[in-house]
Order: sequence, then C-alpha cells, then structure tokens
Amino acid sequence: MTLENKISKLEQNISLLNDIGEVISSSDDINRSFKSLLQIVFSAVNSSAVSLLLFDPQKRELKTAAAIGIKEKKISIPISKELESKLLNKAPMPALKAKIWMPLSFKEELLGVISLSDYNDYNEQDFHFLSLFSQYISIALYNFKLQRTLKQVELHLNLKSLELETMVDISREVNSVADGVIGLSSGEISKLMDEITSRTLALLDASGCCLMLINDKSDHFQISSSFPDLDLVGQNIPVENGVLWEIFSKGEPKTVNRCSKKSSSLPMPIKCQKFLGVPISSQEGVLGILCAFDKVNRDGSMIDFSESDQSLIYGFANQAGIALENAKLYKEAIEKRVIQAEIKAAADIQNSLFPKVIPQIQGFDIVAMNQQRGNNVGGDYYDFLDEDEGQRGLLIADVSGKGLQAALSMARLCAGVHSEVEHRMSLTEMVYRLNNLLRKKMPFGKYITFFYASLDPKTKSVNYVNAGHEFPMLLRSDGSRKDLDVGGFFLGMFEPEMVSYESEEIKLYPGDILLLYTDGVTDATNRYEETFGKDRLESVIKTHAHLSAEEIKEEVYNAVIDFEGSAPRFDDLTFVVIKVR
Amino acid sequence: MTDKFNLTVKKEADFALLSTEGYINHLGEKIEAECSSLINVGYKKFVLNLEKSKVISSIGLAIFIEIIEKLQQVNGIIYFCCLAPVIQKSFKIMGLAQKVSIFETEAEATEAIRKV
Repeated sequence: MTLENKISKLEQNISLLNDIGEVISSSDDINRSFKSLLQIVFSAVNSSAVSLLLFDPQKRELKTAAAIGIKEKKISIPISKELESKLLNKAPMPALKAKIWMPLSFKEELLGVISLSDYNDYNEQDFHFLSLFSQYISIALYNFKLQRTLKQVELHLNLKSLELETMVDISREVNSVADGVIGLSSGEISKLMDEITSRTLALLDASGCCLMLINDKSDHFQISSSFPDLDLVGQNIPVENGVLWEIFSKGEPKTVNRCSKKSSSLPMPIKCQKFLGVPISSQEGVLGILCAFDKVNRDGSMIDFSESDQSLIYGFANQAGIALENAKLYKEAIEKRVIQAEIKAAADIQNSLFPKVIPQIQGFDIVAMNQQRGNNVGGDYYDFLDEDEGQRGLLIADVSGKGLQAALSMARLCAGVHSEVEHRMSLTEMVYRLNNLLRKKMPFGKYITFFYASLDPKTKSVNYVNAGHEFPMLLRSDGSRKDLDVGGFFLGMFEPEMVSYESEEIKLYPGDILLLYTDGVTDATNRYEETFGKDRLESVIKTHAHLSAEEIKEEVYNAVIDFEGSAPRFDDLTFVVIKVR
Repeated sequence: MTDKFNLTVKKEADFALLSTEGYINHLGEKIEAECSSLINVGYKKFVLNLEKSKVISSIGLAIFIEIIEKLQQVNGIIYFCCLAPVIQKSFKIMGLAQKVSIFETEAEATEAIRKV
C-alpha cells in the first residue's frame, strides 16, 4: 500500500471512528445503535457478514444482538472459563467456520464479540481499525450496561416504594377504623378486603389472589375476595383441605412451588400450580387465609414465590387481621351502645313511673326504696294511689324479664291500675280486669306478680289482693308474723276463665309493721350462694321495730348489703315499709 | 388461574386510542407490541384508556415505563386516561405520572392530544 493510500485509509478510519462516536452518544436505543455500528464496520473492512454477540455471564453464553450480511439468527454459543480468559486478552482470534472474533471487554469484564467473516482478507490496518472499534464499542456497551443496571435499580427502588406506600395506605385505612374516623360496616370491610387482595396480587405479580375467612363453625373457609377471578367469591372450601389446613392449624405461612397439577393438597376450587398462603390472625386465633397463585415472569413463565414475597403478603395479612379485629370490636361497641341506649330508655320509663313523693297518711309512717342494680333494668314497681273516701291504694309488683320490654310492661300495668281505680269496683274485680287487660299485651311467657292493698286510715284496716307476689309480711307489735297470701294467680299469663281472685281484710294496730317487697330482697345472695331469705328479713325488722319507718328501711337495706358482701348483685332492691302509729 | 386481558385499538387520523380490559400483568406486552407496530407505521401520538382495568402488576408498570421511553426516543407522546385511584397512585410512585399526562376522561385526553 502506498503512503498516499495509507493516509487516505487512515483519514477514512478517523472519519468512521467519528461516526461511531456520534452513534454511541446520540441514541438511547441500544439495538438501533448496534445496527448502525455494525453498518460502519461492515463498510470499513469490506466484510461480507458482521454480527454482534453479547455475553450473558449468568448463562455463560454468547447471544446474537445484531447482524449484517447474514440472516439474523438467534444463536447461543456456550463460553467456557478458559475461552473467556482468552477473549479478555482482547486479541483477535479465529472462531467458528473461518470467522474472526474481535473480543469486547472493559475493566476485565467480557461483554461480547464482534464476529466477522472472510478472515483471510483483513490486513494490518483493518485489524488496527477493528481494535479501535472494539474499544469504542466496549465502552459503549459498558455504558449501556450501566444505564440498564441503573434503570433496573431505579425500577426496583420504585417498586419497593410502591410496596411501602401500599402498606402505608392499607395501614392508614385500617387505623382510621381504630381511630373512629369511619365506622366499619360490612360493606367497608368488604371494600378493604378487596383492596388488600388486589394490591397483593399486583405487587406479587401473581396470576390470582384471594382472601378467605373461616366460618362460624370453623369447618369451612368462604372466599370473601378474589382477583382477577371474581367468580370465586362466595365459594366454600372445607377447612380440612390439605395446604389450607396446614396454614390454619399451625398459624404459619406455606409456599407450594413444586407441585403437580393433580396435587390434592392444593386448595380446590382454585386451580393453580404455585401457591403461597399466609394466615390472617387476630388475638383470638386464625381468622382466615390470604393466598396468591402462579407468580409469573415478564415472559409469562411461572416462577417460584420467594421469601420476600412471603414477607410482603404476610404484611398484608396482618393488616387484614387488624381490620377484621377492629370490625369485630366496632360491631361489639355498636351493640353495646344499643344495649346501653335500651337500658337508659328502660330506666327512664321505670323512673317516671315511680311516685315522686311518698304520701303522708294520717296514722301511718310510710317509706319506700327502689335501688336499680346489675347491668340491666329490672321490672320492680311500687306506687300509691288515691281512692274514694280517704282510702289509699298501695301496690308493689314485679314484671318478669328485664330491660325495655319489662319497663314497657310495667308502664302498661301502671296505666291499667290508675285507670281501673277510677272505676270504683271491688279489689278482686279490679285485679281480674287487670289480668285480662295485661294478658292481651304481654310477651309470650312473661307475667307480673302483683300485690294491691287498700289502706283505710279511719278504720286502721287494710284490704288486699295478692296476685302471685312475694307474700308481704305483717309483723305485729306482739312479735307475731302474718303473711299476706290471699289472692290468686299472677297477672298477664292466664285466660280470664282460668283465674279468680280473693281478698282479705285485716285490722291494723299501733306498732304493727307492714313490709311489701320484691324477690330482690329475699333472693339477695352472698358469696356462699346463700339467700337472704324471709327469716333474716323478719329478724332485722323485729330487731329494729322500735325505730321509725325510715330507720327500719335503712336497717333492712344495710342488712341486705352486708349480707351480700362482695358477691355480684343482679336484681333491684325494692321494698315499702308501713308502720302503724 | 384464567388470565383475562383484552386490548382494543382504534386508529384515528393522527393518533391511536388503545383501551385495555382486565388485569394488566405480563399480558400487557400486547400493549407494547401494538405500540411498536403503530410507531413503525408512523404513529407517534397515543391515548391509553385504562377504565376497564382495575389492577396493574409490577410487570405491567415496567411495560408502561418501556412504552413511554420508546415513545420518547421517537419524540412521540402518550396520554393516559380513566385511571383507577390505585393505579393512579402506582403511576405517581413509579415516576410515570411525572413523565406523561393523565386525564380523567377519554374525551379530555383525545381533545388534548389533537391539539399537540
């Protein structure tokens, strides 16, 4: 080659290297760059065919990235460590079928080779150019590789952020329930479960995800949320189902990455080949299972669920557990609030029925007590009524049952008695009519024990009817006791033709004490499960018979409270003390 | 599991409207393939309607990133519309929302892209 030709060739190569520099720096598309670069080589060395093969260090093979002059076949060539060492020397080397490989490497890292045909035609200057070209393209490849790694790192970091943000989102929604910001109705919990399921699905790159909850009998799971296969929602799966049972009974996550399609351990009716399930737990145990199926790769091939997948889904399951626990607490709180409102309504009704003041009757010292105790309102009731010719009616009653229903029955009794008293009939007739009236409105199985006495201050006598109530006790000043037990059946349960009532008139004397009471007094129980009883009641009154009615009331109350001690108190304390002056 | 994903393409005079239906996971490759084909025949403006897709996987998001980058290389643009709140949030966290315009309705997106 003449000097002139050499200079011309050198100028041409410098120009080509300049072109290479422009290609490398102007495009972000590595595949497009490969094509352009190969085109430059192709024209520079008059090769009939040029291809670029990239090295995959994981698989240890060279793969075609671009080619010119030959049909662009996707070929893979295994590279041994020995061959890799040779290629790292950067020297051109003969390769398959009379071709030459120009190694591409940077910082002792094999990146690939330029494969050229027609080895025998290349001269020294061609090799010099190819050597420079290889250095250029190696740097470009290395930069592309770095960029790709950076993009992958960025994607990975963003996905991690997405995982964290998703967890924060779910956590925020769950906690907003605990903070009382929103109420957790069944619709809201269902929406939250859907969100947990869909987000788990998305972050795990699974093909399916579902959340199932154990039923009340703990024998079936019911799928409450499923994505993307919505048809699974509502389906039941027996709890004994192999892999589900394992998760449920042990309370531990389970991954099944290697199982055949026929495996009976998989949770039918879900059809999958890879399974990851974690328990949804609360303080009371396992409430359900959150599971994902068939994790897929970018190319659609299935890949195993990893430990980090398990950690992620566990985080979601924990949030689901907290949400379900909160929902349960919220429901209980609502129910408690309803009950408290009912108790208050019942208490208000009851309090409105009791007389505001105790009447002062000539010749009698009268006091009364009603103390509501326990968690619910009882059905105790006492009252005083004005009758004809200066007589006074006094009554005590106990409605079976508790709460609002008992309070309403008491209100009906109150209205009935006040109405019947106006009709000026005999006591037995009045009680008979009351039974008939109440029977029509009383809830099934409920009744009222009732005692009514008509007190005559002029004759110092009492006429009474006892309709199934605790016998009031009349303690005479001579120390004797008479139980007021004449009457008939309690009210509100029996047909009119089945009942009849009798009355009794008793003469009263100064110092006599009449005590009307409900079973809350005599049935008061101590920690040995002994009841206070009538005998103790009689004894207390006799001991303090010399005191005023008010003082006797206090003594009876204190005696009952002392007797009960620390034992739980369920029933109301209601009694009326009438002392004859 | 049965994968359900559909893609419909409507070619307008100066842009292409692509609408997805179902879970966008690896099957979202269909979107990238369709966009590449359209780019090769000269389309540079795209509207992607995700109204009927409520969930998108990590792979689906990566596919969208690649589509956006591919379009940037040919000075193309892509507008998204009708994104479910969860998908919109994912777009924001993954940096997609900073690279593309997102519209609430298809009408808004198509009107905007016609003006470009």
